[in-house]
Amino acid sequence: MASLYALAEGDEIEFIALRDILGLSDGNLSSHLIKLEEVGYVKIRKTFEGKKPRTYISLTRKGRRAFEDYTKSLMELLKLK
Amino acid sequence: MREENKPSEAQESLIQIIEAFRRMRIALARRKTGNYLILWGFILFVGYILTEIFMRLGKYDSIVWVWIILPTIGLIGVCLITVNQTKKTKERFPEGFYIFLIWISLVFYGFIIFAVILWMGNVSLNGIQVSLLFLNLAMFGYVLMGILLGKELALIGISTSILSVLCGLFLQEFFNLAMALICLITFIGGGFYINKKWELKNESTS
Repeated sequence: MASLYALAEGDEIEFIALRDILGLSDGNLSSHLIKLEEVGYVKIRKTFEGKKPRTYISLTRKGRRAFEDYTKSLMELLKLK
Repeated sequence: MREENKPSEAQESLIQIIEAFRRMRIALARRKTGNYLILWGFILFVGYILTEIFMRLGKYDSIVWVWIILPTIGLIGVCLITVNQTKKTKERFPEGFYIFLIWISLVFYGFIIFAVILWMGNVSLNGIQVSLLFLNLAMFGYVLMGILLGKELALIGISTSILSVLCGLFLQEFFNLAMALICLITFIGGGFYINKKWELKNESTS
Protein backbone atom coordinates (compact mmCIF):
# COMPACT_ATOMS: atom_id res chain seq x y z
CA MET A 1 0.00 0.00 0.00
CA ALA A 2 2.91 2.33 0.73
CA SER A 3 4.17 1.83 -2.83
CA LEU A 4 0.76 2.53 -4.29
CA TYR A 5 0.37 5.58 -2.05
CA ALA A 6 3.54 7.03 -3.64
CA LEU A 7 1.69 7.17 -6.97
CA ALA A 8 -0.49 10.15 -7.74
CA GLU A 9 -4.16 9.70 -6.84
CA GLY A 10 -5.91 7.58 -9.44
CA ASP A 11 -2.66 6.43 -11.07
CA GLU A 12 -2.23 2.77 -11.87
CA ILE A 13 0.80 0.53 -11.91
CA GLU A 14 1.24 -2.67 -13.81
CA PHE A 15 1.38 -5.82 -11.68
CA ILE A 16 4.81 -6.82 -13.06
CA ALA A 17 6.30 -3.39 -12.33
CA LEU A 18 4.96 -3.44 -8.76
CA ARG A 19 6.29 -6.98 -8.26
CA ASP A 20 9.77 -5.93 -9.44
CA ILE A 21 9.83 -2.82 -7.27
CA LEU A 22 8.82 -4.71 -4.14
CA GLY A 23 10.92 -7.77 -4.95
CA LEU A 24 8.03 -10.15 -4.25
CA SER A 25 6.97 -13.32 -6.02
CA ASP A 26 3.84 -13.34 -8.22
CA GLY A 27 1.95 -15.48 -5.73
CA ASN A 28 2.96 -13.47 -2.70
CA LEU A 29 1.97 -10.15 -4.28
CA SER A 30 -1.28 -11.61 -5.64
CA SER A 31 -2.38 -12.88 -2.24
CA HIS A 32 -1.65 -9.47 -0.67
CA LEU A 33 -3.56 -7.66 -3.40
CA ILE A 34 -6.57 -9.97 -3.25
CA LYS A 35 -6.91 -9.31 0.47
CA LEU A 36 -6.62 -5.56 -0.08
CA GLU A 37 -9.15 -5.71 -2.90
CA GLU A 38 -11.62 -7.57 -0.71
CA VAL A 39 -11.64 -4.74 1.81
CA GLY A 40 -11.86 -2.17 -0.96
CA TYR A 41 -8.39 -0.66 -0.52
CA VAL A 42 -7.09 -1.42 -4.01
CA LYS A 43 -8.65 -1.68 -7.43
CA ILE A 44 -7.44 -4.43 -9.74
CA ARG A 45 -8.14 -3.95 -13.43
CA LYS A 46 -7.51 -6.80 -15.81
CA THR A 47 -7.25 -6.17 -19.50
CA PHE A 48 -5.70 -7.48 -22.70
CA GLU A 49 -3.09 -5.71 -24.78
CA GLY A 50 -3.30 -7.63 -28.03
CA LYS A 51 -3.17 -11.19 -26.77
CA LYS A 52 -1.19 -10.34 -23.64
CA PRO A 53 -3.13 -10.19 -20.38
CA ARG A 54 -2.26 -7.15 -18.26
CA THR A 55 -3.15 -6.37 -14.69
CA TYR A 56 -3.20 -2.84 -13.34
CA ILE A 57 -3.34 -1.91 -9.69
CA SER A 58 -4.41 1.35 -8.10
CA LEU A 59 -5.14 2.52 -4.60
CA THR A 60 -8.77 3.49 -3.97
CA ARG A 61 -9.74 6.61 -2.03
CA LYS A 62 -10.76 4.36 0.85
CA GLY A 63 -7.32 2.71 0.68
CA ARG A 64 -5.51 6.07 0.72
CA ARG A 65 -7.48 7.18 3.75
CA ALA A 66 -6.87 3.86 5.53
CA PHE A 67 -3.15 4.09 4.79
CA GLU A 68 -2.98 7.67 6.08
CA ASP A 69 -4.84 6.67 9.26
CA TYR A 70 -2.54 3.70 9.73
CA THR A 71 0.69 5.71 9.37
CA LYS A 72 -0.77 8.38 11.63
CA SER A 73 -1.47 5.82 14.32
CA LEU A 74 2.05 4.42 13.94
CA MET A 75 3.51 7.89 14.36
CA GLU A 76 1.37 8.53 17.44
CA LEU A 77 2.47 5.24 18.91
CA LEU A 78 6.08 6.21 18.36
CA LYS A 79 5.34 9.75 19.53
CA LEU A 80 6.56 11.20 16.25
CA LYS A 81 5.05 14.24 14.61
CA MET B 1 4.59 -8.50 26.60
CA ARG B 2 2.42 -7.52 23.68
CA GLU B 3 2.29 -3.93 24.93
CA GLU B 4 6.09 -3.90 25.29
CA ASN B 5 6.52 -5.04 21.70
CA LYS B 6 4.13 -2.51 20.22
CA PRO B 7 6.49 0.43 19.75
CA SER B 8 9.16 -1.76 18.17
CA GLU B 9 6.56 -3.36 15.87
CA ALA B 10 5.30 0.08 14.94
CA GLN B 11 8.85 1.18 14.26
CA GLU B 12 9.43 -1.88 12.08
CA SER B 13 6.21 -1.23 10.16
CA LEU B 14 7.15 2.39 9.64
CA ILE B 15 10.60 1.42 8.34
CA GLN B 16 8.98 -1.00 5.87
CA ILE B 17 6.56 1.69 4.72
CA ILE B 18 9.37 4.19 4.20
CA GLU B 19 11.39 1.61 2.24
CA ALA B 20 8.43 0.68 -0.01
CA PHE B 21 7.70 4.38 -0.54
CA ARG B 22 11.37 5.05 -1.39
CA ARG B 23 11.51 2.19 -3.91
CA MET B 24 8.44 3.45 -5.70
CA ARG B 25 9.81 7.00 -5.80
CA ILE B 26 13.06 5.73 -7.34
CA ALA B 27 11.11 3.76 -9.95
CA LEU B 28 9.12 6.91 -10.70
CA ALA B 29 12.35 8.93 -10.99
CA ARG B 30 13.89 6.42 -13.40
CA ARG B 31 10.96 5.88 -15.69
CA LYS B 32 11.75 8.83 -17.98
CA THR B 33 15.48 8.14 -18.32
CA GLY B 34 14.90 7.79 -22.05
CA ASN B 35 14.35 11.57 -22.25
CA TYR B 36 18.10 12.09 -21.76
CA LEU B 37 18.82 9.74 -24.66
CA ILE B 38 16.27 11.43 -26.89
CA LEU B 39 17.87 14.80 -26.09
CA TRP B 40 21.42 13.59 -26.87
CA GLY B 41 20.22 11.71 -29.94
CA PHE B 42 18.78 14.94 -31.27
CA ILE B 43 21.94 16.91 -30.34
CA LEU B 44 24.23 14.39 -32.06
CA PHE B 45 21.96 14.10 -35.10
CA VAL B 46 21.94 17.89 -35.59
CA GLY B 47 25.68 18.02 -34.87
CA TYR B 48 26.61 15.50 -37.54
CA ILE B 49 24.24 17.00 -40.11
CA LEU B 50 25.65 20.51 -39.51
CA THR B 51 29.20 19.11 -39.66
CA GLU B 52 28.43 17.61 -43.05
CA ILE B 53 26.88 20.86 -44.30
CA PHE B 54 29.80 23.03 -43.10
CA MET B 55 32.32 20.56 -44.51
CA ARG B 56 30.70 20.81 -47.91
CA LEU B 57 30.72 24.61 -47.62
CA GLY B 58 34.37 24.54 -46.53
CA LYS B 59 33.59 26.38 -43.28
CA TYR B 60 35.76 24.27 -40.99
CA ASP B 61 35.84 26.82 -38.14
CA SER B 62 32.06 26.58 -37.88
CA ILE B 63 32.35 22.84 -37.21
CA VAL B 64 34.34 23.56 -34.04
CA TRP B 65 31.60 25.96 -32.90
CA VAL B 66 28.91 23.39 -33.65
CA TRP B 67 30.61 20.95 -31.27
CA ILE B 68 31.02 23.61 -28.59
CA ILE B 69 27.50 25.03 -28.76
CA LEU B 70 25.51 21.79 -29.17
CA PRO B 71 27.01 19.90 -26.19
CA THR B 72 26.48 23.04 -24.08
CA ILE B 73 22.80 23.01 -25.10
CA GLY B 74 22.79 19.31 -24.24
CA LEU B 75 24.17 19.96 -20.76
CA ILE B 76 21.56 22.67 -20.15
CA GLY B 77 18.92 20.21 -21.36
CA VAL B 78 20.19 17.53 -18.96
CA CYS B 79 19.91 19.99 -16.06
CA LEU B 80 16.37 21.00 -17.10
CA ILE B 81 15.20 17.38 -17.46
CA THR B 82 16.74 16.48 -14.08
CA VAL B 83 15.14 19.45 -12.30
CA ASN B 84 11.79 18.71 -13.93
CA GLN B 85 11.96 15.00 -13.01
CA THR B 86 13.02 15.75 -9.43
CA LYS B 87 10.18 18.25 -9.06
CA LYS B 88 7.64 15.74 -10.35
CA THR B 89 8.73 12.73 -8.34
CA LYS B 90 10.51 14.45 -5.41
CA GLU B 91 13.11 11.70 -5.68
CA ARG B 92 16.55 11.72 -7.27
CA PHE B 93 18.45 8.85 -8.83
CA PRO B 94 20.28 7.16 -5.98
CA GLU B 95 23.13 6.63 -8.47
CA GLY B 96 22.97 10.25 -9.64
CA PHE B 97 26.20 11.27 -7.94
CA TYR B 98 28.07 8.28 -9.41
CA ILE B 99 26.72 9.07 -12.87
CA PHE B 100 27.95 12.64 -12.44
CA LEU B 101 31.41 11.31 -11.43
CA ILE B 102 31.50 8.97 -14.45
CA TRP B 103 30.91 11.84 -16.88
CA ILE B 104 33.31 14.23 -15.17
CA SER B 105 36.01 11.51 -15.25
CA LEU B 106 35.35 10.72 -18.90
CA VAL B 107 35.59 14.37 -19.93
CA PHE B 108 38.80 14.71 -17.90
CA TYR B 109 40.42 11.60 -19.34
CA GLY B 110 39.15 12.42 -22.83
CA PHE B 111 41.04 15.69 -22.75
CA ILE B 112 44.14 14.01 -21.29
CA ILE B 113 44.15 11.43 -24.12
CA PHE B 114 43.58 14.17 -26.69
CA ALA B 115 46.34 16.31 -25.17
CA VAL B 116 48.78 13.36 -25.17
CA ILE B 117 48.01 12.68 -28.83
CA LEU B 118 48.64 16.33 -29.71
CA TRP B 119 51.77 16.33 -27.53
CA MET B 120 53.17 13.42 -29.50
CA GLY B 121 53.55 15.92 -32.31
CA ASN B 122 54.03 13.66 -35.28
CA VAL B 123 50.55 12.16 -34.88
CA SER B 124 47.66 14.15 -36.26
CA LEU B 125 44.04 13.12 -36.13
CA ASN B 126 41.56 13.86 -38.85
CA GLY B 127 37.97 14.89 -38.16
CA ILE B 128 36.65 11.34 -38.21
CA GLN B 129 39.28 10.12 -35.76
CA VAL B 130 38.62 13.00 -33.33
CA SER B 131 34.90 12.31 -33.62
CA LEU B 132 35.43 8.59 -32.94
CA LEU B 133 37.67 9.30 -29.95
CA PHE B 134 35.16 11.51 -28.15
CA LEU B 135 32.07 9.59 -29.26
CA ASN B 136 33.48 6.29 -28.04
CA LEU B 137 34.53 7.80 -24.72
CA ALA B 138 30.94 8.96 -24.35
CA MET B 139 29.70 5.49 -25.30
CA PHE B 140 31.93 4.02 -22.60
CA GLY B 141 30.01 6.33 -20.26
CA TYR B 142 26.77 4.74 -21.43
CA VAL B 143 28.18 1.27 -20.80
CA LEU B 144 29.11 2.31 -17.24
CA MET B 145 25.66 3.85 -16.74
CA GLY B 146 24.17 0.63 -18.05
CA ILE B 147 25.95 -1.27 -15.28
CA LEU B 148 24.31 1.05 -12.73
CA LEU B 149 20.87 1.53 -14.24
CA GLY B 150 20.01 -1.16 -16.77
CA LYS B 151 21.41 -3.23 -19.62
CA GLU B 152 19.51 -1.25 -22.25
CA LEU B 153 21.81 1.74 -21.76
CA ALA B 154 24.93 -0.44 -22.07
CA LEU B 155 23.56 -2.01 -25.26
CA ILE B 156 22.98 1.42 -26.78
CA GLY B 157 26.57 2.38 -25.93
CA ILE B 158 28.08 -0.82 -27.31
CA SER B 159 26.02 -0.84 -30.52
CA THR B 160 26.76 2.84 -31.22
CA SER B 161 30.47 2.20 -30.62
CA ILE B 162 30.61 -0.78 -32.98
CA LEU B 163 28.64 1.02 -35.70
CA SER B 164 30.71 4.20 -35.37
CA VAL B 165 33.99 2.28 -35.75
CA LEU B 166 32.59 0.42 -38.78
CA CYS B 167 31.53 3.75 -40.31
CA GLY B 168 34.97 5.19 -39.58
CA LEU B 169 36.62 2.27 -41.33
CA PHE B 170 34.34 1.61 -44.27
CA LEU B 171 32.09 4.64 -44.77
CA GLN B 172 34.51 7.53 -44.45
CA GLU B 173 32.95 9.41 -47.33
CA PHE B 174 29.53 9.36 -45.70
CA PHE B 175 30.74 9.28 -42.09
CA ASN B 176 28.75 12.28 -40.81
CA LEU B 177 25.52 11.26 -42.51
CA ALA B 178 25.90 7.66 -41.35
CA MET B 179 26.62 8.80 -37.79
CA ALA B 180 23.62 11.13 -37.84
CA LEU B 181 21.46 8.15 -38.83
CA ILE B 182 23.04 5.84 -36.23
CA CYS B 183 22.53 8.39 -33.43
CA LEU B 184 18.96 8.93 -34.55
CA ILE B 185 18.21 5.22 -34.39
CA THR B 186 20.20 4.17 -31.31
CA PHE B 187 19.64 7.21 -29.10
CA ILE B 188 16.20 8.47 -30.07
CA GLY B 189 14.89 4.96 -30.77
CA GLY B 190 16.56 3.65 -27.60
CA GLY B 191 15.20 6.57 -25.60
CA PHE B 192 11.61 5.87 -26.63
CA TYR B 193 12.16 2.16 -25.99
CA ILE B 194 13.52 2.79 -22.46
CA ASN B 195 10.69 5.21 -21.67
CA LYS B 196 8.20 2.53 -22.69
CA LYS B 197 10.03 -0.35 -21.00
CA TRP B 198 10.74 1.43 -17.72
CA GLU B 199 7.28 2.95 -17.53
CA LEU B 200 5.27 1.60 -14.62
CA LYS B 201 2.14 1.43 -16.69
CA ASN B 202 2.42 0.50 -20.36
CA GLU B 203 -1.10 1.27 -21.40
CA SER B 204 -2.84 4.62 -21.52
CA THR B 205 -6.18 4.70 -19.85
CA SER B 206 -8.88 7.04 -20.91
